[in-house]
Amino acid sequence: MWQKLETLNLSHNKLTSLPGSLCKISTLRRLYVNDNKLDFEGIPAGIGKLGSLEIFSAANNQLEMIPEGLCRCGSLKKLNLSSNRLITLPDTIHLIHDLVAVDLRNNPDLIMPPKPAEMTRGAGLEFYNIDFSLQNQLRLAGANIPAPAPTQSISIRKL
Amino acid sequence: MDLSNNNLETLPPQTRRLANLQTLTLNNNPLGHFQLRQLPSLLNLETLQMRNTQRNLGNFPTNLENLILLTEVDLAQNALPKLPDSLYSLVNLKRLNLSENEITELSIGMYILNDD
Repeated sequence: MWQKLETLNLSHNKLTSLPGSLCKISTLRRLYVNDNKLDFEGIPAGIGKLGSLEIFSAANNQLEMIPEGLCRCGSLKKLNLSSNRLITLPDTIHLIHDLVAVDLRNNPDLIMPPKPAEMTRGAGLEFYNIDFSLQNQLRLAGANIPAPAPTQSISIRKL
Repeated sequence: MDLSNNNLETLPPQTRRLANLQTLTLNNNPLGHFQLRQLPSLLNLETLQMRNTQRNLGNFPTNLENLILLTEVDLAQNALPKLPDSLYSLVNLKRLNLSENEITELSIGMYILNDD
């Protein structure tokens, strides 16, 4: 099995989703999935496990949002999300230290999230209780979506 | 060996004797009927470039697990509907280009990745 894969180019195909097992390829440095049919549901939440990922390029897809997990890829340097349908982004995008290039062009409805009030971890209950579901993010961004019923469990993420 | 951009429709069976071959470049040849049966014999192969060579699921070899030196495979522009299963057995693969195909899903084979 691909224990050493560094570069995977799947651009210009007909993918609607990426498998969760992709997130186990810890050697992956460059992932190109431009010009497919990916939407928010199609990007596995576990993508944050790709600790070596330096380039994530998903231009020309149907992404309204990206998983918060992507912002936890500690080696991420280049992020190409141009020509999608982005409405907003996780506010943790401001926390990706090594990011040198972000291409967000041609996302006409995109509203950038504000920087987190506290940029450090353990900064208070607010930081831990962020609901990253698409529904909530869209609502925060001003889309006309009814607020969800109060949820029982608030999970503290192990960052 | 770079045989790109020709009108090759097949390679002779003697190709299997190229045991020391490290790079095989066949891009842009109409090799639709070519089964690539010699491929598993090319044990020193490091790079395989078969961009636009009419690869499909029927003419791609199924037994590549011995190609332990193969690190780069280019199968772009081949109208593949999914990854050939034998690609998953290339344990030392570092760079894989499957752009410009017709792949709709990646599920098969990926499930056999080790749980680290």
